[in-house]
Amino acid sequence: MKKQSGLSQGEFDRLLAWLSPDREQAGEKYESIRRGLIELFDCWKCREPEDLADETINRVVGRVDGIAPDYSGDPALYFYGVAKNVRHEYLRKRQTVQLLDTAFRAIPQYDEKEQLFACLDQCLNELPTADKDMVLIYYEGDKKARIEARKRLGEQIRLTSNTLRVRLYRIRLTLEQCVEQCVEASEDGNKLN
Amino acid sequence: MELLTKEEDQIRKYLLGSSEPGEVEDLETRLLTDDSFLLEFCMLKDELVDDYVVGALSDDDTARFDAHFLSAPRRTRKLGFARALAVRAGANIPELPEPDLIPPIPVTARWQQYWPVAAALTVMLVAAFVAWKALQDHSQKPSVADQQRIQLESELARLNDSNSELPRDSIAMVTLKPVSVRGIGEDRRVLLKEGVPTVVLELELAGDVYESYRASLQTDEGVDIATIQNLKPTVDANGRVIRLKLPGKHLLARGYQIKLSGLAGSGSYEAAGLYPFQVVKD
Repeated sequence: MKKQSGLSQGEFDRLLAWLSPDREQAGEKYESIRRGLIELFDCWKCREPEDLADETINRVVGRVDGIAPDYSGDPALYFYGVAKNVRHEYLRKRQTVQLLDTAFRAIPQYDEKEQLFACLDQCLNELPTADKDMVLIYYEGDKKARIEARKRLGEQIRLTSNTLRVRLYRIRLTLEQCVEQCVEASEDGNKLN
Repeated sequence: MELLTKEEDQIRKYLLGSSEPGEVEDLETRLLTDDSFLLEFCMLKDELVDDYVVGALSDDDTARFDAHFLSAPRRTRKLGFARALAVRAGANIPELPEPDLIPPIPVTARWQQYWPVAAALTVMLVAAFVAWKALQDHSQKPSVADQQRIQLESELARLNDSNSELPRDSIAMVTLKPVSVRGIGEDRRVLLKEGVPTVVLELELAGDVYESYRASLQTDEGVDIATIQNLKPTVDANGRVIRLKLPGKHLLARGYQIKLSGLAGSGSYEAAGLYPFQVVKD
């Protein structure tokens, strides 16, 4: 469980205690809520989903002492209400920028293919060989071929189709995060190995 | 199994911007309260991108993917990654216009490209500072955002003056139907080449026809950017239309919508159609 950098240990502990009396479960719930918030802000077309998720958590933390004693129901729903306010403020601020802005065009879009492929190759090579092979076999075909490949791979390694689907998702997530970091590092001037 | 199919359908609709009213809040709260639903959501998002990459989406879903899904800033990156992965794995993927056909720009050229942006930003910052200082002295004056809106709206009013004519070679023209009569696979992209000063949206009118219209330019999330008043319908090959002119320099590569209202005899405005569109920079 990773504490968000803006929170003190005391604040973080109080938040976890509100989420669940069991510290381990509270940690899992915290991670899950943060991932969900990031997805929400992404779906709401915000440019910095992680920052806005953390802003939401910070606001909730600031109110925990006041609300926790009388709150009933799933605390995650309280995060949702706060997130909607954060989104509303974000849209209002961005509206000003939208009128005359050209600066956001500079957001990197992975349009430099050479760099992207170099990073992808590097990150593929960092995967365990079995995972790398599995990903390359799976993504080789079209949709129908992928479903068949998943069935075939599942039989080979004795996993159900859905378990394999989850495993492939997690490998891909690792790969995507690795590529994103690699591209950002390259853009910051760091050379690839 | 039935439940899973319904859930998958609900998630895909949400991701493509076609959820039923009332489904959105339920889905969004489940993203925070149900860990397994969040996992399913993330997997389906990746699979939707993969389906787009290999051309497995229907025409209608492809149009929605272009207009809605890709308008979230992070997702063009996700698409770029998915395409690269498919290419590296040896998949045959169809050619798509965005973003692969954007020619790679050399690093030096990119910096040169950003000089005008930096200059524009400097001007904006100075203007913002001056406006802020003025606000300190005259708190009753409009805010910077209000001033920008007034400036943009007066530019739009000039551009849409019924007497102003534009040379045909200096515009990008697109005909749009309102969403209520949206056709399958309808292309709602506005291809905007660098330097084109004006975009003309030809908005086809459906239902009652009014003498005068008001158009609100909004982000695709429904946030108002500017309003253009007193637009008159004209008749052309597409029937009755409103020709709306927008300044190309202010449009970003993202989703917008025009909310059209007609001035009724009672003096109040009535809804006359919603026209989403996606600006694609060339």
